[in-house]
Amino acid sequence: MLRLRGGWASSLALLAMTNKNMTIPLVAFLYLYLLFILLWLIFSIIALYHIIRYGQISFFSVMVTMAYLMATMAVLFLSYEYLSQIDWEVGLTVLQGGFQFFGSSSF
Amino acid sequence: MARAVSDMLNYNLPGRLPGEKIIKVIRKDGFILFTKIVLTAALVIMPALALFMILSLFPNLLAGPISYPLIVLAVSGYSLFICLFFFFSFIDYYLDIWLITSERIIDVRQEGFFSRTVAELKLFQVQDVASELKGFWQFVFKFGDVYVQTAGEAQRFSFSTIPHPEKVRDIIIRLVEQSKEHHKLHN
Repeated sequence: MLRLRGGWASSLALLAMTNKNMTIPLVAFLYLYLLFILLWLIFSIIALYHIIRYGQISFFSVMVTMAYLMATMAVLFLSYEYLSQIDWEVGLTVLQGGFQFFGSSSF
Repeated sequence: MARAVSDMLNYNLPGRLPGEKIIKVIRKDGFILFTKIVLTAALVIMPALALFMILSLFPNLLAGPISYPLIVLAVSGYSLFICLFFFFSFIDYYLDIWLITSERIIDVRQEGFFSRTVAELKLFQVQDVASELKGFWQFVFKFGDVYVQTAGEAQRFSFSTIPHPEKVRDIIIRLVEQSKEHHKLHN
């Protein structure tokens, strides 16, 4: 990849001037999402640990905890349903000709 | 296992004294939880409106082979973040607790994900108790702060944004008098 001292903006400008394309595989965003899910899971476990270890069992706390678990399960299930139908082989093309970011024809 | 269940069902009094009874358990006022709910609702509604407007202006975004997956990933991640944000806001509210017992006042504070502090003071050490209602919302919804000053302590022990601070102050004053009488008789 061509690089200038001025950082990524200069590199992008040079790429644009030389009319070269840079393709980011769409699956990279899925990996980022999965990384986020991992972090989210760790924090969720910490939160559940706090409520079980230090909280008093009450109708209120049980209801909120159950609501949290059900809401997150619903989000994860729906996300899986939608994401499983996507073709992850597609690439995101940056700088497709001149300064036209994200090749608008395919976006 | 039985100990863990017992701890969950009862407030786990650190170093419970013989004959010590829990007189009052105090959490922050429900108004504080309500503000957290309102904040969460705003964090849900505002981006949802923004997304709705963007999709109204550019309806083909949902048909794009790249934009559609990115939207799904963003919405999913944001939804999970909001769920966790609200759940931890609730935990922060629920686990911030003040216990008034027949012998002590115990202050338990949950601060963020990784910080939890427990402080206590003996009732017979209390020198002064003050309550404060400050501002419009505190005046309308009757919540405020109670400050407990002990002898030789530079900092005040404070109960912040609790419901009915005057009643709590009266309870503490009554218990402090009883505790001091008890200590006079036994010393």
